[in-house]
Amino acid sequence: MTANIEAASCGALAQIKEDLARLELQPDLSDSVSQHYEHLEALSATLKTLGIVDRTIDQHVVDIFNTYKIELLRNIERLRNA
Amino acid sequence: MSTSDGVEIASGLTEMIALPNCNSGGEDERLAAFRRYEVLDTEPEEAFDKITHLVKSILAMPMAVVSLVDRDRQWFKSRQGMADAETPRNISFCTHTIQGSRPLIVTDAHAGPRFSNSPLVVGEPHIRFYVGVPLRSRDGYNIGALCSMDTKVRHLSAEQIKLLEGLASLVVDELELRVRASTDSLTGVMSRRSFGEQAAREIARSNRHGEPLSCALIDIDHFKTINDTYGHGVGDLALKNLAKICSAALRACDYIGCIGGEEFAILLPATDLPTALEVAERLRIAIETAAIEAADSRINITARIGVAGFDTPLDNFEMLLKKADVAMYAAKNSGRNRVCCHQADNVSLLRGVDARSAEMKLFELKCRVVQ
Repeated sequence: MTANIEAASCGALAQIKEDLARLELQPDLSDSVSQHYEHLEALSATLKTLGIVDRTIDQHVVDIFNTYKIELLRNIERLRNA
Repeated sequence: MSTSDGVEIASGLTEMIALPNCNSGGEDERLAAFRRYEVLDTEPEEAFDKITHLVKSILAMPMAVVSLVDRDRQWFKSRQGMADAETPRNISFCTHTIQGSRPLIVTDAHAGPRFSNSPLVVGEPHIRFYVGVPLRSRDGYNIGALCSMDTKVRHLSAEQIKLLEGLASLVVDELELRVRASTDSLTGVMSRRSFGEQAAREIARSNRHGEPLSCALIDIDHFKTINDTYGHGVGDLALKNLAKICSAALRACDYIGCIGGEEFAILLPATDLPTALEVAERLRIAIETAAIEAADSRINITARIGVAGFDTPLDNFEMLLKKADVAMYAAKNSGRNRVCCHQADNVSLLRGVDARSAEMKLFELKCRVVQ
């Protein structure tokens, strides 16, 4: 069961992980971002237990991450200029 | 009844839940933590709307909101299916949710006396079922709730509640991200930019309502010597301690920012100059009294404080800061560990005296005049 849950939406999560690795995160932000990633993983697993199909899970996870990323990029820029 | 995953469910009303994981500070501390997010009355944002939309669609509920609980009201940062942007706090369900550390579930609001007469139950939006998960700040205060409501009796599975808890964590992630860029990374108080923005808002508000407003600048005495003698680690500790002392001593509506190096600024809304001097003197004493535990030594620090009032509609943040800076410079020149006040063209000196009597002395005792 656990293995199935981990397999679910791993495509979206892997993509997000790669995306985050490319960002130059200030130490201030990296803890928050790691925590957010863990929360997305947990969301993905919970949606799976609710019977949501992988493709829809991926959509939700990516959708939530994309808006988070917009604010994250703003913050990186702000901290760079601070 | 209580389900195996620890969620308390009762017919009509979930019992109020103990707060084992919740910060035990009082309401003032909770409000101070809440205000740190500076989210009240801001525009709707897609990030939060996506989450409430997801709650609504996956739980098949007609209503979902991100509710932030202020002193007297709950305000919705995001709302689906709710007409009002806010409600009085005393009729809200979320004010009960934030008392606990776990989800609050009201399966049938008509069944128990606590909610059956609520205007939100007997009138629009006719809430019958409620589920809310506290939004817990990183420092452990419940600042609001992610909740969902229905007009009919509902039962949610443990997985559905877990989903709501997971989405509440994502709401907090979004809130934290917004506050992260506006705080000083070492001390956790507001950054210069954020403090300046808040000060501009408070000055505009003060102008509108004709209320007084004061500002204090604080600088650690001999900070360079502390760094050179004990190392930068201890210097950092001194800054953190000072920020902590000030934050603890201020009201929920006050603001503190690190505006550069070892310099802190404090904004005191609705506070006249004599009262601001009392506050500054209390802070000076608290700073002087607290000791820093560093390796094998205890270090006491002192600070100089310059206070200025916002006295004409022409003052802006920079002018206010400049006045406080002039007063702080006078405190440094007159021996440090002092509070000085900028009044018109004068700077008055105050040190180690009862603040109330100082208020009387202040305007007679022009110890130092700065051009």
